[in-house]
Amino acid sequence: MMFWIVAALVLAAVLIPLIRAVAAEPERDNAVDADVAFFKAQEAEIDRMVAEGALPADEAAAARAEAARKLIARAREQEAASAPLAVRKALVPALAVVAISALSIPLYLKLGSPGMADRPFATRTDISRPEQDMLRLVSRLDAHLAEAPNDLRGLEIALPVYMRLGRFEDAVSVAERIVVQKPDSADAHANHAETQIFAGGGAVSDDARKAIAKAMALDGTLPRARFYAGLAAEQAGNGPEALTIWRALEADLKDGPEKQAVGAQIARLAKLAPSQSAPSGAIPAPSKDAADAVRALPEAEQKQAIRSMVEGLETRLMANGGSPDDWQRLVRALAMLGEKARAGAALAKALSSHQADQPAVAALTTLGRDLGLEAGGAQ
Amino acid sequence: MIVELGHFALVLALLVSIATAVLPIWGERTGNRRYLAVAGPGSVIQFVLVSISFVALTWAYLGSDFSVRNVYENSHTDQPMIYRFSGVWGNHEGSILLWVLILVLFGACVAAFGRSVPATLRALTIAIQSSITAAFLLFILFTSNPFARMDPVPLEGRSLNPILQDFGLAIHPPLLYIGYVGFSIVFSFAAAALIIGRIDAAFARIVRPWILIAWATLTAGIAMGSYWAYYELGWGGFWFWDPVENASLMPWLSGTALLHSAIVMERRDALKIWTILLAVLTFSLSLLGTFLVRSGVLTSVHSFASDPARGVFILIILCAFIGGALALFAARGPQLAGGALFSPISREGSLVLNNLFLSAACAAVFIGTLYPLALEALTEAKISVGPPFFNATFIPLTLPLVLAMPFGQQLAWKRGALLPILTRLFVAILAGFVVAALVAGFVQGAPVVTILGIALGVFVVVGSLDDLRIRASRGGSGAFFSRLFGLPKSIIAAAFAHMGVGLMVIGIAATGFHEEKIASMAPGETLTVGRFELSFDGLQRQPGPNYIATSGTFTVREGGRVVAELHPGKRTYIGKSMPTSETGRHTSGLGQVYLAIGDTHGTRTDVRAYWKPWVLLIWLGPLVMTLAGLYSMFDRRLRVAAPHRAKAVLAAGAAE
Repeated sequence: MMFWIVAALVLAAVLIPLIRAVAAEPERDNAVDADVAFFKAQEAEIDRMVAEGALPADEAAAARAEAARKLIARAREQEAASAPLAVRKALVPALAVVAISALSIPLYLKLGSPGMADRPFATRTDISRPEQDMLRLVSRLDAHLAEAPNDLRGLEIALPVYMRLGRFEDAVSVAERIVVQKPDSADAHANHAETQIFAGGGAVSDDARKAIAKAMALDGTLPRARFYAGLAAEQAGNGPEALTIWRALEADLKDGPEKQAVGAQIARLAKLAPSQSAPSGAIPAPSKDAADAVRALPEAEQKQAIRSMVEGLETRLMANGGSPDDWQRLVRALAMLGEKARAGAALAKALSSHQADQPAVAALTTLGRDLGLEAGGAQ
Repeated sequence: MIVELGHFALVLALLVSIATAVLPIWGERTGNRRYLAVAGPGSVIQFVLVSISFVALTWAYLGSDFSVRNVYENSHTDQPMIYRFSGVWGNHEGSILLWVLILVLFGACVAAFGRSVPATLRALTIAIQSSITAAFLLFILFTSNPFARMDPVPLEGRSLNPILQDFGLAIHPPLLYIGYVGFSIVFSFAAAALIIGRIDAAFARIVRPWILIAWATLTAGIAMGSYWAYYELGWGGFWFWDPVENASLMPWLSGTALLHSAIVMERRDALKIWTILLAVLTFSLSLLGTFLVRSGVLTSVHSFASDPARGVFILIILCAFIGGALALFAARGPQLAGGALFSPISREGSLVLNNLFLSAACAAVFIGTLYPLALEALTEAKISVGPPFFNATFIPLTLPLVLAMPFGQQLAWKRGALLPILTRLFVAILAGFVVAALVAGFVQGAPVVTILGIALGVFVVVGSLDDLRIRASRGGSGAFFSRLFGLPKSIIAAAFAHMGVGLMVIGIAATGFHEEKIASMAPGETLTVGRFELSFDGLQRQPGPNYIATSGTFTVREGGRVVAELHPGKRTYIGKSMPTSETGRHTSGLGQVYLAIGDTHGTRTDVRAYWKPWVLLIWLGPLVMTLAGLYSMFDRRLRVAAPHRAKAVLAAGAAE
């Protein structure tokens, strides 16, 4: 209510001066006056220059003559110009005033969030206890690590927190520092690999590969190291080896979510296998852990995390190409994110790079039609 | 409530700006003077409304109100107050709002201070300015709304880009924008004058202060950006021919031409076509700069295509205003002919030359900046046009111009002669040669280009200032000082502005003397650069409010005596992985010892050390130019033609 009262006052404060301006006796058009004033100023300046000795008398006379000539020419032009502007009724301005008052509120209602209160941080009451605690914990952690960047206990607390918040880059730097202090811990290396894989949107980089190798060398039985070793093998184009690693891992694990995650990977890879004649550069579906981690994030960060994964996939596929399945996944993901133009571009690229593969073209075309995309939406 | 009120005020500002844009022009066309009366209050109301919006957004930033999407995306509760404040314009939406705030500020200034401007011209100028405002408000409200809200409200913001968390960058955009947008009012004046059909010396007198303020702040803004790049990027360069830099240089070049061409118009009623075209061109280039920086075209033509709404919108604004102004110009062009005649060798002639060179230099920058974009859009090929292109095109175009500057200052109006000027510039020429000889003699192996550049700079500095002496000694030797101090402010300002160019030329030429050392140092080791000894005392980690800094301690000795302790470092902002560099600098005279640290390998740290004699002149020059421009604004005197006796036969050769 208060808002609308203030808004009405602002509107009135805007309209009153406009109405008064239109109602008042308009200013005389002073074009001629301005010419005369300009001429006089010129004369005064010439006098001053003469007085200062900057202008000899004969030149001053010539300058005066020139200025006068111009004034006369201007006066003649003014005469020839159309009749001076008249003062008539102010119908159109009145309409404008009405239009401003009539349009401002509907336009604001369409664009704004009427009734939504300010939420400055200091007066927030909507942040729940656990959230507040989490926030405070995180900012305390940040501050602590800023002061003591190599405090092992702080680092080990921070690592899972950063992963949960989706701050993967920070997690990488934390994991790195843990590795420096615990170079013989397979677990630390596996963590290091995991953070890098998450930061890279699911891709196993060279550094991550090295970290996995170190972890495996230190403890060849560590489940997480073996899991990522499988992923690394798959992305290196060695599907059968990945299957071997994962099957062995599945056999070693007790029943539980971990075993299910590995099983899901095996099932996915087994399904891919027939079409994997040239699997180099194949991109895995986001692993189940990754999906779980993303699901655990607050909504805004969840979206961000999904978006960064999709963008990682997009960059890689656009640069290096991929299997028809990878392309389908990308096109679908982009369409879900509302990036129709980019989805169209991806579809076009997918079609052109797999044009010889009839079933792939058919599947991609169907997908595009289902999603309402046009191939080549953007260049 | 305050945020929503800011949003409402912005909506209202849009409607008022449309009314203020339409009514005065309608009134002028139909001959109804009441309609013109809307302009004055309309422009002030727009300013008040946009100010309310801006204050509301600032309020949201200062209070970390993350229900505003823009605040959530660009602020953080840990951010120091100053960067929460500068965060308002450290992002796309807020910076466009700042743009519009300055736009309406200039409109309101015309209403408030333009009493001497004929009423019709004033009303139409405000109308044109309001139409620009309306276009940008539409852009803000429908594609880049800073008042978009979020519900549920996020817990914490994403914080401002670390590279923008620097004092220099906090004030760089406002300065640059005052410059960019300042030319909008000159554009509006030109368009209004074209509509009315009155383009004469009086018009040039009216726009003079507006051109000066825009030019002076743009100069300061560009220099500030260059100094920021110098101390923040850590490679010691001051200009990178980066498209963003070029986008600000182009309006500066054409604005400089405009400044000079308007002098001729005020004094001689000539060069009208040049002046009007340059007024249109300068603002068009400002718009183009905004388009380049704001549309995402620069990062990649493809990123533009992925979010085309904004880019296309600015492109439409760009085409509408440039096209409209040029169409008006075409319609009125025939009336612009005439004006006083002058011979090629005269002050007017030299200023035409100045316009030609500056326009050509501007065209070179334009091609170098846009060609790669056009090529990428058409063929997907990514090329980069770097310093070699600009060194080969821009420098040959500007050097003769700089050399000709002192001559131009001496040339008489209407008809001049070069030979007497050579004798008058004797002192300056001599000074140039003497300094060149001294440098060549005392500095072992100084590059020839450097020596020539310094000689040129000295010639310009002495020649520019000598102009004041020559003018004050006219009419006998008595009363020299009273004449010197009685010289018109604009003459004094011109001399100092030209001197500023000379200083900058010396500073740039002296880069030939810069020494660079790159080393990997362990604590306790020393490095010699220039006449300075740098000893590395160790690395520390220091926490900041929202970053972790790694900084080295270096003791600087000159001749065995400790002169400074420097702390170059790197900062890693919490929550962002990109490190920023903080250079350590010690100023000695006009030169600087410049230190930046790189990666650390075990106990050794990569160090880049420079000794840069006279480097400060590169920014001192533009600073002098800025101050001179501002000083010139206080000159209320007219510029009057002082022709030589009219009995002489006028040589043909009017440049129009």
